[in-house]
Amino acid sequence: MGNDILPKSIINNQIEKLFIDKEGLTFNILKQLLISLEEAAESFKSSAEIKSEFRNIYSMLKSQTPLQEELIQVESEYDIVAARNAGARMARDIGFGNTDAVKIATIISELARNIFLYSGSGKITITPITGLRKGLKVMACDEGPGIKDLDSVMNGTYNSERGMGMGLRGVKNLSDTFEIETKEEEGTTICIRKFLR
Amino acid sequence: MPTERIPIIKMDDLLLVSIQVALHDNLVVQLQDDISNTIRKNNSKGLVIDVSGVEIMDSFIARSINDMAKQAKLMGTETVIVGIRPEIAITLVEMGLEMDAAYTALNLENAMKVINDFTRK
Repeated sequence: MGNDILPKSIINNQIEKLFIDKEGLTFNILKQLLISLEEAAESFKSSAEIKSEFRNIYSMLKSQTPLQEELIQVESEYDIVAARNAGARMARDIGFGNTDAVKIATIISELARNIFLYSGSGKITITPITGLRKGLKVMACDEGPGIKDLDSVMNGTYNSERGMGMGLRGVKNLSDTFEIETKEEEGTTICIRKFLR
Repeated sequence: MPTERIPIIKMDDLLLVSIQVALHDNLVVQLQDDISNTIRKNNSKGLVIDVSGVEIMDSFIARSINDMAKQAKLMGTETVIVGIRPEIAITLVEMGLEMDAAYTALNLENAMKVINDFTRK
């Protein structure tokens, strides 16, 4: 199928049906639309063809707009999946290979899960790093109970019932830079970076 | 969200679990329950967990699957994990996570060989 004709006509058709003002359509709205369409299509049939067709449309859209920061509110365990999918998508858009994209998705999954388990809610911000060294930055912020004994969590002498020790140490091992700030009863902020090799 | 469930397939005295969806916490807990109950009901000798459809394995998911193998072992059932993707294997090693309660195999065919070996003992 010709990529140059199909996606545009599909998008225009869908937009007309949705009564959305074509001029006011931003990349982010379109992307949300695509993601939900893809998810809907997947629940009927998980097909490689659907996936590759969506990837085509998506990469066409992407090539016309610079990458933007994404913010994911983490309030339920479904948000953990949403956050790591967003991270994997952005990682691939930036140019990370499959293995690094999986590492980044794992990092985000780990951070989002900590937020959900220990704080109940918080947010994950995924930002593309531009400039000389391209990469991706992930910030995880919550206003939860904080981490009491950070040193023993990070050096491996402490393992919680739910295994946070392994998780955070794992995140550190998978990242190029790792910063953590935590204060009891105030919250935790973790910032990691991963650069293109 | 509707209640999802991962099916458990019985093959003679084996159980086959193929994980094809994004695992979230409720699903993992449900699966752990289902596996233990099915092992008891069917007197199963082996459990094969196919993870070739799992795209991301964080510490929670890795530990949950390892726990399933531990539970099965306590009930006299050995577990073989099949189809860990290369990028997931790399990630797990780099994180320092181990899944030591189960045997592993590249594919179902090899898993059957592993199971035949330990059921003969």
